[in-house]
Amino acid sequence: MENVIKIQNLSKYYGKFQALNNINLNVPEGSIFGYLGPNGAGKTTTLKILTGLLHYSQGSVKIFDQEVKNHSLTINKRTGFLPDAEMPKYETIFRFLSLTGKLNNISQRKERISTSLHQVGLKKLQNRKIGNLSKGQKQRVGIANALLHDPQLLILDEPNSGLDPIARKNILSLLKDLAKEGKSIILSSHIIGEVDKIATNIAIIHRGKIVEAGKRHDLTKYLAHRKFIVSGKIDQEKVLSLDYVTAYTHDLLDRVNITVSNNISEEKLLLDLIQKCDSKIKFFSLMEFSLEDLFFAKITDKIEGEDYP
Amino acid sequence: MRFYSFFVQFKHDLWGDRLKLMLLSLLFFFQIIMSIIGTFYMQDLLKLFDFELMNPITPSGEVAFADFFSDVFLFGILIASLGTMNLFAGDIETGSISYSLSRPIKCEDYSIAKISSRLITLIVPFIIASFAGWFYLLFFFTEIPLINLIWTLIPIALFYSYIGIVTSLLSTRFSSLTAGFSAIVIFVIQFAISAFKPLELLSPFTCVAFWPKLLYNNSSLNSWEVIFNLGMISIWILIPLILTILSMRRRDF
Repeated sequence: MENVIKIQNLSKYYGKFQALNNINLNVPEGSIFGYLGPNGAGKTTTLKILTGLLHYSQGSVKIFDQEVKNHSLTINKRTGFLPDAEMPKYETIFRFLSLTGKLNNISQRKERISTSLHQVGLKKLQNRKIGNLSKGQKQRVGIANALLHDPQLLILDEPNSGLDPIARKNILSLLKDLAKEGKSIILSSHIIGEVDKIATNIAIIHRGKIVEAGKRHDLTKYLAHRKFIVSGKIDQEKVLSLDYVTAYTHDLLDRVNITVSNNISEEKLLLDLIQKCDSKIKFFSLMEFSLEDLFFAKITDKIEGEDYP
Repeated sequence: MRFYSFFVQFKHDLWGDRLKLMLLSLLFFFQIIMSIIGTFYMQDLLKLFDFELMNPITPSGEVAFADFFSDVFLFGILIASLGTMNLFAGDIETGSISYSLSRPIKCEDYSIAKISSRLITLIVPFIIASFAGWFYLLFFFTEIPLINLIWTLIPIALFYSYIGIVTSLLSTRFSSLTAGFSAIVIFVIQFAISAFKPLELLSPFTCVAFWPKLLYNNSSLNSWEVIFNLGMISIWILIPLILTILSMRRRDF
């Protein structure tokens, strides 16, 4: 599978502040790429660089094998972008979309506008002024704007922000359908649960650095080998004396959560608990990891004791 | 087609500004008519309040013509600054420029389209109102040659463009209010400079001040002087225009 976006050693400075630090990312064709990170991590900066709205200090950013710096016009014709920004409030939805249609030289513009508004459930409101819409409706207009010229790549910055649950569900299923048609989608979000439902690939960014990236399935599998839920009679000191145990905590059900180095198998831990730690085990299980667990594992310990951005 | 995206954006912005255009036409028209009425009837009005001017002027079409241009000139400077101070700053502040520039349009096409549509919005009402004022004089008072009107309109329109572009340039880097205020400060300094002989070429006001001398002081029409002044004012327009494009291209949105 080819990569539609190739980012190599990308750095971005705002004056002396380094917003992105040597980022390397690849977005495969036809994938839904979830780009996660806390506020101020650098998600929007990366997405704006992809659309040519921000200049980058060093590195290479290629979309469809073309360097963004030199070919943003050609690239923008093949990409749809939803920024996390306000829209011109005195324009009607139709007029706003019409400009995108004209600049993309779309034939049968009216039909395309109708179709993309239908996709986001706003067909009846096309003559309403954007300023008179709710936040969620504006967001849907933005998505319709990104979809209007049937782009091969969608770059969506917080697509679900401000949407009600029904609209969220519809947008997520729309994105899934678009990916099935072969379109590539990169979306940033801090609503991890929703990205978890649709993303095929994930990258987590924190303080301008990619802390984790890969296929969604591989990432959670990788973490699943590290954390175990155990209950029974367990001697904490003995468990902590095992050199591969990295954490020992109690959860809300008073079970023990044992985190181990990722090369330790569940059989070895179980045997050691029984033989070396004299534990009487009632329950032993690998912890089911969600993307949210991965996110917190990668981010939370890093921000502990620091100012949260 | 190279200029397709420019024309699309230009048409879009111009249509969006249509209400502003109508409102400004009315404002300019009101200003011009009030100025003419002032010239012809001010002394009669003052007499009603038992007040007479020490050196009463003789109202004539020429005086009214000169008066309305001098009144409208200052009014237009203010309008040109106020009308362009949020041209880019407004979009940058709200972030809606992200939508505009993520469309397939070059930054320079976008910038020039925005500036030119806004300048048309500012200049066309002034031209419409000036013609209306000219007809008013023509029918009721005296005949002013059309060529004089045209020769007066050209430098003022160019000067308004200069004002608009400088304010737009400032609005690419500052907030709307700061851009408007800074522009006014710049124009006051330039106006002051134009009074000093060795520095006068550093002020675009000098180029505009040339025309009244040409038209009303019975100077003979020297085509080289006209060309020189038109050239100078064009340079005054081009410099901030190029700087605006560079500023837009180099900044992050």
